Amino acid sequence: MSLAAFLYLCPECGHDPLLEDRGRVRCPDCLRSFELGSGGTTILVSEAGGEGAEIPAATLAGRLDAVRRERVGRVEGSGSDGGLHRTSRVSMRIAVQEDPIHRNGALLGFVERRGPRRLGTLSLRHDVLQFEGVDGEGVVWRLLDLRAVQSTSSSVQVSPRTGGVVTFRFDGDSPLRWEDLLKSALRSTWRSAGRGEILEFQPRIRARAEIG
Amino acid sequence: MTAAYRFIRALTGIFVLSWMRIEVEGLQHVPREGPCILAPNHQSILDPLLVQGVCSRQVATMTKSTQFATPVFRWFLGLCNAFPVRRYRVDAQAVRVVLRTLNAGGAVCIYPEGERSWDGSLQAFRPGTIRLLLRAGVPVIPVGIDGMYDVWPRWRSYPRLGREVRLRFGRPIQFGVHRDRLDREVAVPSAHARLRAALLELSGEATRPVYIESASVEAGPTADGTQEVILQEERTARS
Repeated sequence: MSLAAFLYLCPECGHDPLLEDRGRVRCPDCLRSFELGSGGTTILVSEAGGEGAEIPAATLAGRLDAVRRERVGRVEGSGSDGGLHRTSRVSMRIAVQEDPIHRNGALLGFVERRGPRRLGTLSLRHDVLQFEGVDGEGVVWRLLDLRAVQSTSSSVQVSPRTGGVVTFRFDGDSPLRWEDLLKSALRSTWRSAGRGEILEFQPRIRARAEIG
Repeated sequence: MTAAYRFIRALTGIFVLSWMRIEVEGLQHVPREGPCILAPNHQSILDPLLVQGVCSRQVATMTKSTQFATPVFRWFLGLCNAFPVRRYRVDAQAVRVVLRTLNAGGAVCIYPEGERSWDGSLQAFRPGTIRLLLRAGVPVIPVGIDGMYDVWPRWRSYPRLGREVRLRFGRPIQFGVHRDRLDREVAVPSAHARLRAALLELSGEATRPVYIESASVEAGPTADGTQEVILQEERTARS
């Protein structure tokens, strides 16, 4: 991964995406560049041809979040149905079984047994998540049928109500972007379906009851 | 401490020390024996090795189950005394392992954020973790990690060398014993706030230009009738 996985669009001007350039990322619109700073938790933000400033990464995350919220439904994900849309190339693995792990004769826990890797495209279309494999086979999940969403390292995992856990690793796209997108879409879908405001997404989606 | 754990600890110590300059404070707050839970903030993939490397007693670290996927990692994590937690479901077995380890007088390490921070700041805690701390009823030692984001943030493919890292072990927090579920739910907001305040202080985030100024937690009903915790955060930029 790179900084583009975290700053998946320009936190200053909102351009999408940022371009990778030898360890840093650069905005082709406002021409700012971003790289890991040296202030502990800072990102060095440099103006085109100018000096750089160490900005707290949390500040940039806040700006990115504000830009993203403004853009939702307008630029990225502006489907004709008013919902969130995005398509990315992914590799997908589905785990429908778990293996026990023992240590010194005692049960320690369980690990999901992942199936073969499948390449394809993942599409979010309003309230439906769809995987289309390069082999022509696909899977569709309604957002209302998802039980949990979480990110793990460089992937996003969803747990359908039918069981198992599905892991998506993105080719050329940010797992954080997809996590933010899925959570926004889930909140919207849950609200529209009268299921209330989602409070947490893992270990399972829990919503606050709507109080009339 | 098992021989395997001692070996891994020595090996990772050499490995890690050659990469960074480490400053450690407050180790005296970690009880030499008896049950306790270490609760660090989470900035980097190396955090568990760092905490185990400096801690003078053997610690069982709760680790996401995906890390155990390959035989090599499973073997290595076994030497490190780690145990898996399935984050995509409520994992009762992980809770059993925590309580079993504590009942045997052991030390457990749990990261309340549940995953590494993308921006280095302290994220919301998993409510289930707070409930577990309350149920366990043992001393909780907050551990502030500062500087690991500079070494190897989540989004970076490789670490940077020669950085300064600080680990600060805080005074044990005694949440008391809350065996009753309703009792725990009532205690969650204040426990959450206490641990959060401690980690903000120990990790140095409280004195950074942007920090979580206030984190209030309220409880409310969920769709299934149970109580739920909502974390409200206000970030302030000083500059």
